[in-house]
Amino acid sequence: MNLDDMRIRLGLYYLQRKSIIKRRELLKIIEDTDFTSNLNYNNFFDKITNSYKVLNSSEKLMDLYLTIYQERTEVVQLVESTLKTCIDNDISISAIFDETYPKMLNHSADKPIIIFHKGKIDEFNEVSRRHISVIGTRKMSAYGERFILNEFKKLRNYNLIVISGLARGVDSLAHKEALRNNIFTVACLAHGLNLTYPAEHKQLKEEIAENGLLISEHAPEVRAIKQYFPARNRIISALSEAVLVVEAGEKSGTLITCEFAAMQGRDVLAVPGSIYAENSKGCNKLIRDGAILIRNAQDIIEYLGLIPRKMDPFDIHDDLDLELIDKLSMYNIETLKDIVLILAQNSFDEVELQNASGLSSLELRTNIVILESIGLVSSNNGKYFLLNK
Amino acid sequence: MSTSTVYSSSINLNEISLVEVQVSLNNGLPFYNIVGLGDSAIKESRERVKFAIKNSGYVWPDRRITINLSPAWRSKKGSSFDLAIALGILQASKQLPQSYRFAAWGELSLDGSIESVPQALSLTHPFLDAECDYILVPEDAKLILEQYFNGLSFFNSLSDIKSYQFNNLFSDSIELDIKEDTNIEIPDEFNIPIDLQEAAWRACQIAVAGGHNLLMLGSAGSGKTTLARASKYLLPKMNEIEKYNIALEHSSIGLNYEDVDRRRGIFREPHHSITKAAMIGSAYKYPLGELLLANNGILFLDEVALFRSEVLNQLSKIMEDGYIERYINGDFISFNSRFITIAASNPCACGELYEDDSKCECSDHVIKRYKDKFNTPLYDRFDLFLNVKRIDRDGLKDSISKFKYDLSEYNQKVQDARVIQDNRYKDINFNHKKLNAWVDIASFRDRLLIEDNAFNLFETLASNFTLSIRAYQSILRISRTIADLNKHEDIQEQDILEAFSYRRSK
Repeated sequence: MNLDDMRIRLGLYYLQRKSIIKRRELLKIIEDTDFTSNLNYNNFFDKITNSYKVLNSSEKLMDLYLTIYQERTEVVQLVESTLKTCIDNDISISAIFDETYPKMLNHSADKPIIIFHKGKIDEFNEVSRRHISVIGTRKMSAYGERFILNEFKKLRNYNLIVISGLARGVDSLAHKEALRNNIFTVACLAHGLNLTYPAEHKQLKEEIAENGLLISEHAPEVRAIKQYFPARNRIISALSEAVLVVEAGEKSGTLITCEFAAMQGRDVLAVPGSIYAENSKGCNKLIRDGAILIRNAQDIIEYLGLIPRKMDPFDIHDDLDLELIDKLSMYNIETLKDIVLILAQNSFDEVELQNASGLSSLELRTNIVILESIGLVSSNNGKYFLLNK
Repeated sequence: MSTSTVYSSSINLNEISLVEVQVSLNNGLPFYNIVGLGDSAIKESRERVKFAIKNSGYVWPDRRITINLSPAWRSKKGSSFDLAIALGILQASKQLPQSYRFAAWGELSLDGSIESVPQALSLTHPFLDAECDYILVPEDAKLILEQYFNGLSFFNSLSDIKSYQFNNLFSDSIELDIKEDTNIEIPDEFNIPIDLQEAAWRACQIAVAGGHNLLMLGSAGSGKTTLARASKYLLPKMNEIEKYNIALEHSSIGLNYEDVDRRRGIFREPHHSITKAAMIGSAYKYPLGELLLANNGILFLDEVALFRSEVLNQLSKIMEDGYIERYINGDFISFNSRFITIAASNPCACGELYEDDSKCECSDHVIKRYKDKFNTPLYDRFDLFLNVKRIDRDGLKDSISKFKYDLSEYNQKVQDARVIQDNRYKDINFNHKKLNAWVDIASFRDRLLIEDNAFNLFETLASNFTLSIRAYQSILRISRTIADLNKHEDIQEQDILEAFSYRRSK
């Protein structure tokens, strides 16, 4: 995308943000105008006014001329400064007419015209990917934590994308576990991409930008205000095929997201809990109202019809220290691959791995040492699992 | 002459020594006094001795009787001096021939019968050096003592002594004659397929072969305790002298050492409620601590997380040093204490953490707190780490036939490895068993044979896993032991890889 294209998109953003043109009218202008072909930024404002002319009476047109004339310099300045921030911080911009604009989001009625994003947008838009958002309370209990910790690792081998809001509690744990389990994860922010709220998630945010995707409908430096959070929630639900509620209280922002989801025609999935647990009251209520009950990863897999992805174990890790394996004359790379392929399905303990691979205890242990030393496999509580770099 | 001397012996802390019981009968009002730092049991001996003598047909001399237990500066305790005192009085009053030098220990009953005490073996030991004609010991102790000594005279009561003819001027002096254990079969309870837990059993073998410390974390019922106890049968058979010394040590604190199973190897299993004093020894109640008893053997700490932290703190220092130094009654004493530590623990409070996801009911906080217990300096001293999972009974049926039941075969493998180590370190001066984990690092590095590619692999893995210096050395030592077990002269790649598989993971 060249600089003028970015300027045009920023121009559209500020025309709407400054309330110079109403959203509905701007959408119509976009429909009528072909912004995708190389448009000259110098003519941008003229073109907008021309399109606007078709839609409106001359009286209103005068108003617009007036406002654009008055505010043009300010908008141009804003566009230039934001453009610089975006380029400096590696932030991309997509408008609803762009290829990069997420299709799921485009199908919803209240989509933002412009989104800012940072990360692997192409991977996000891959056709084979399935999107699910995982949301829940900020005050997560051990129950919710256990669900995420236990079930996410079973989803590692599927073409799944996990979307959430980088908030405390369920959101951040969902991001963390997704990253840990090599699941593509997307954080939708209620503020500009250069800010972090809450501040303790700075590291996590950076990791997501590197391995996943950050999305916001606001320019990089825009601070969050209270109203932006529900608005952000509508993007979360719009981006996904289904919304999974892990834990939610009776009155919570999570339930607002679920309302959006219902309006946008997205499915709501919920993890049930004790009827006396404060943190499960919202979930149980959702289930009573018709949400789909989720007990484990298998339920999610079945509901979304997920298909395991095929992979060559050594291909997914570009930066493996394969030199070590080359050095080991006596070790058979096929045996190592076998173990990795078995572990790609699930995490296993030693005995299970032994049975699955047909290796003796000693052979298995020595092979695992190699895989651990190159950072491909790790163990937790006696179970071995594949590790993401 | 109305004085006499009889040998007896006393146990003071870990010292067993000969004591002279000197008796003097003098003119004066009838009086009885014992000097020489005796405890209450010794002071009370007056009544036992007096009536035992009277009730056995002897005459109690109505004279001023003074008894000195020499050396007088050493404190003495217990009732084992009764017989020696009685013999002294009888000799001094010429009721027994004065031409013989007696050595004796034993407690007297009021009716004159002679009783044994739990320290029988160690009380007899000093008589080996004593120049005496007759050694009189209780008949009760015959079973125990005959296993080790020749030339003892056993008596049931003082009246038996009265009717005995002391006429053998050339009586054989006592000598050590340690009888072989006749029955050293492995008990039935260990006729189990011990290697079902293949990796854990292998780790036990490595630990015992090279003197490494092993920590097993695993679910309740996964067989940790059985594995540790079976490890005892991997220890080398003790030779006669070793066996005697161990028996002596045990007997000096009154522990029964007659159980044949105990004589197969040193295996101490203190309960987790043990106090610091009982663990490292203290002046009064515990002359020898568990750590001293475990010297050259295995110390098994079951549920190690439940031990008092002060006990574990002491342990970590001693595991490193190989000796215990402490002050007892103002004397500085140093003991050798080098042992193989095998520790076992549940991974969390309920012990189900490693089992299927649903079983463990501990919250993450509880699990973390439990795991933090293993982040103390003590656990740096462990070389082999292992997770043990419960064996699935269903998956077992088809594979059970391939497992061996024969502990003695494993014992042989471990002994072979120990012989190799013994030959390797034969020229170094070291007062413990010369094991890979125990010899000093310089001697170890000097004699380390390792293939070039194996050493490269070791360095690569060491940097990939960012090992600490301590871990670096301990893995190298384990590799050496594994190579010895595999009968590899030079350490090979596979030995290195196996050694790394027992490292501590984060």
